[in-house]
Amino acid sequence: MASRIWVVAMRDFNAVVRTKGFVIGLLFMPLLMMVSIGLPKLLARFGEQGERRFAVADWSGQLQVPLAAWAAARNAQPGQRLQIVLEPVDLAAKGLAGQPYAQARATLAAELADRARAGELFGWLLIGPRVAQVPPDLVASAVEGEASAATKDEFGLAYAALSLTVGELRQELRGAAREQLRKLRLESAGVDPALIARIDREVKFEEFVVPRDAATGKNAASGMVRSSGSKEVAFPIALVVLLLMGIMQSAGVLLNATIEEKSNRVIEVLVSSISAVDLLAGKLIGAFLTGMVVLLAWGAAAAFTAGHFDLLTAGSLSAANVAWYTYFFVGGFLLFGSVYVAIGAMCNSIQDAQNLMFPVVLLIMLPMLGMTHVLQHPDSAVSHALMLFPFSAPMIMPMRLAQSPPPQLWLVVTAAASVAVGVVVCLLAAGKIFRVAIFSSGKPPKLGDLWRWLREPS
Amino acid sequence: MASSTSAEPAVRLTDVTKSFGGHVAVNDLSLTIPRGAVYGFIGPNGAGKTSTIRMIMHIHLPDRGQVEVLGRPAGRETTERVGYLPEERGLYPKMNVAELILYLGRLKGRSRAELLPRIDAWLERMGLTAWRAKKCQELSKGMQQKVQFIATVVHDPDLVILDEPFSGLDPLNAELMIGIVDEWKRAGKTVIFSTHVMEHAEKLCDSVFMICKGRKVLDGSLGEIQSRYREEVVDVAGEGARSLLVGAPGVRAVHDHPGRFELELEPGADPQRVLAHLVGRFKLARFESRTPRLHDLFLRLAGPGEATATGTMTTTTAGGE
Repeated sequence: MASRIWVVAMRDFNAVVRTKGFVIGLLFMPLLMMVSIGLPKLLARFGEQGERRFAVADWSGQLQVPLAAWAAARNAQPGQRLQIVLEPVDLAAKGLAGQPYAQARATLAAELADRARAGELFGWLLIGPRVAQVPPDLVASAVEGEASAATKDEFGLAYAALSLTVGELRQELRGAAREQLRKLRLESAGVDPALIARIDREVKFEEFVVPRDAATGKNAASGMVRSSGSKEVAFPIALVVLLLMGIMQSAGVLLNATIEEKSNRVIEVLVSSISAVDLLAGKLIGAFLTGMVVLLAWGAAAAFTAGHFDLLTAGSLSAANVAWYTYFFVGGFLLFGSVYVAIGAMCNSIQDAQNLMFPVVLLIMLPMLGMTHVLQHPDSAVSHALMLFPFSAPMIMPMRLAQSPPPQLWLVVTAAASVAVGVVVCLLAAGKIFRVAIFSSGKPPKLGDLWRWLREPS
Repeated sequence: MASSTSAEPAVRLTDVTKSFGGHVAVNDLSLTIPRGAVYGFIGPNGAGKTSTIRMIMHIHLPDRGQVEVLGRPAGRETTERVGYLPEERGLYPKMNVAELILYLGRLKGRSRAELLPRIDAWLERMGLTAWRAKKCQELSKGMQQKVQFIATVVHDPDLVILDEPFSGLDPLNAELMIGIVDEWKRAGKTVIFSTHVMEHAEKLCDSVFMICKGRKVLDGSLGEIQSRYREEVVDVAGEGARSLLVGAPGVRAVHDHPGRFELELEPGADPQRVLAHLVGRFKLARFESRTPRLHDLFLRLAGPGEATATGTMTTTTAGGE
C-alpha cells in the first residue's frame, strides 16, 4: 500500500511542480529579494538629471557662503546627476535690507513665488537675521503670542519649493543649513568648533553576543562574538517568514488539489483503488515535497542573501538547529496541511473554502503577531505560550532557536511534543472528516455534522 | 493472499445495513452475484444502488452484515481485482490521457511495464490513439467517457462494476461498449451493471437486482422474473364495455392503450378465470398473457406505495438466495 501512497504523492507533486505558475512563483521570491536589495541602486542610475535652482536670501549674512561651499562640494560628488544651484538674493539692491524682517520676507516670498511659477526657480531659502545667534530660552522668558512667533522667525529658516516631495533636496538643504548653523552658533557662544567636532565624534559602541551551546546550555569557551541587534534579529525573523511561506504554499496546494478532485469528481475513482486515509497520506506527502522544493529554493536564496550581508549569526545554522527547523517545518506542515485538506474535502469550490478559512487564518497570523514580542521578551509567559501552542510553535520555536540565547532545552522538547500531539490529533480528525466529506455535496457541513463525523468509529 | 475458488460467488452481501446520519440507505440486504454473470442493478434515484456498490468497493463500510468480493471479505486486496466506473466520474483536466490511465492503473497495483502495452491496445480499440498525449480537457465528453472506461478496465479486473456507463455516449460508441461487455460475458468475467435505462439492462443482463428505499424488491435471472410476472399482465382487444374488464375476477387495474386494454392482475390471480368470465360477455379478438417489460416492472415496483411490497416479489435464482 505504501507504493500506492507514493504513486499519489508523486502525481500530486508533479501536477504542481511541472506547471509554469509554480516555476514562476519559485523564482519570484528570490527575484524579489534580489530586486529589493539592488533596486534602489539601480533606480538611482535613472534619477533626474539637470539642476534645481534655489534663491537664497540671507538676512544674517553668515550662512550664504558656507551653504555655497556645501553645494559646490555636494555637486562635485561622483554620480551626482542633479545639481543644486544656489542663487544669492541681493537684499540691499531690492531695498529689503532696512525693512522689518517679517515685512521684507513677505515681499520677497511673493516675488520668488512668481519666479518659481515662471520656471526660473525650483524654490528658495529665507534665512532669518538672527539665525546664527544662540536663541533665548523662549519658554523660560515667557515670551508668547505674536512677538514669540516673530522672534522665532528671526532665529529660523523658511524653505519653499514647487514640491516638497520631489527628491531629497529639502532634507539635504535642511541638513546642510543645520550643520552650518550649529557651527556658527557655537562660535558666537565662544566655543571652539574644533573642540566641538572632537566632542561630537561618535562614541564607539561595540556590540557582542555571548555564544551558547544550545545542546548543553553551557557557555562556550570561545568568548564573545561581534554582532549587532539588527543582525541578531534578521535571521530569526527571516526564518519565521520562510517557514510560514513554505507551510502555507504547500498547504495551499493541498487545499486546491482536494477541491479540484472533488469538484472534478475524480475522488470516487481514487477511493475505489486506495483507501481514503492512504489517499490523504499520499496527498500530504506530495504537498510536503512541493513545500520542500519551495523552502529549499527560497531558503537557499535567503541564506545566500544573509551570507552576503553578513546576517547569519553564530550557530544559527548548526546541525542541531537545522534538525529542529526541519522537525518544526514538518510538524507545522502536517498541522496546517491536515486542517487545509479537511477544509478542501468539505468544500465544493474555492469560494466555499474561503468562508471556512477565516479561523485558520487567525492561527496563521498568530506567529506573525507574536514574533516581535517573543524577540523582545523571550521568557515572558506569552512567549512561552506561543512557543508551546501547537499552531504557533512550528514558527516561533525555530525563531527562538535562531535567537541568542536559545531557549532552555525543556521548552524545545515540550514544544516538539506539543506539536507532535497536535499533529496526531489533527491527522486523525482530518482523516475522519476527509473520509466522509469527500462524498458530501451541496453546502459545506455545519459544526454538528463535523462533530458527528469525528465521533464515528474508524 | 489466500486464493479463492471460482465456485465462490463474485459478490455476496449478507444482511448488510448502511445508514448515513439516521437515513437508512441499505436495509438488511442479502444478495449473491454468481461468477460470470452480467448482473443489472436497477432502482429509482436514492434507492441505495450506489451505497451498495460503494460497500462492494470497500469505499463505505457496512454498519452491519458482511460483504464478500471474489471469495474474500471486501477490502483493499479485493478492490485491486475490481474495475469500477462510478456514475459521478471525472478526470484530471490537465493530465494527458496516457498518464492518467497509467496513474489509475498503478493505483490498482499494476506496474508501469504491465500497463503501457495495455494502454496502447485499449486506446487503439477505442479509437483514441491519436489522443494519447493530449490533455484530458482537450477531449470531447464522449472521448472522456471512453478514457474513463479504459481506466476502469486497464488492470484487467475479474469483476467490473459499471454505473451508467453509456450516459453521454453516442449510439455508435454505446454499441462499442455493449460489444465489449458481451465479450466479457463470453469470457466469463463478472459484470455489475447499474442503470436507469431498462432496455440496456434487458439487452445486457442475465440477472437483475432491484432496490427501492434501501430494500431489495427484485432479484433473479431475467427469464425467471419475466416468467414470474408473465401471468400478471394480460393484453385484451375486442368489443365490449370497459366496466366488464374492471369487474372481472382477479383484475387489479385496467390500463387503456390504443386498440387494446392492459389488465393488471392481482398476485396469484388465474388468467383462465378472467378469460372464462369474459367469454360470452366481451367479444374478444385477442387475449394474451404478456411477458412484462422490465420498464413496467420498474414502474410498478418503484411506484408510489409499492415499497411495502418487498420480499413478495423476490424470486430465487440458481445463484441467489
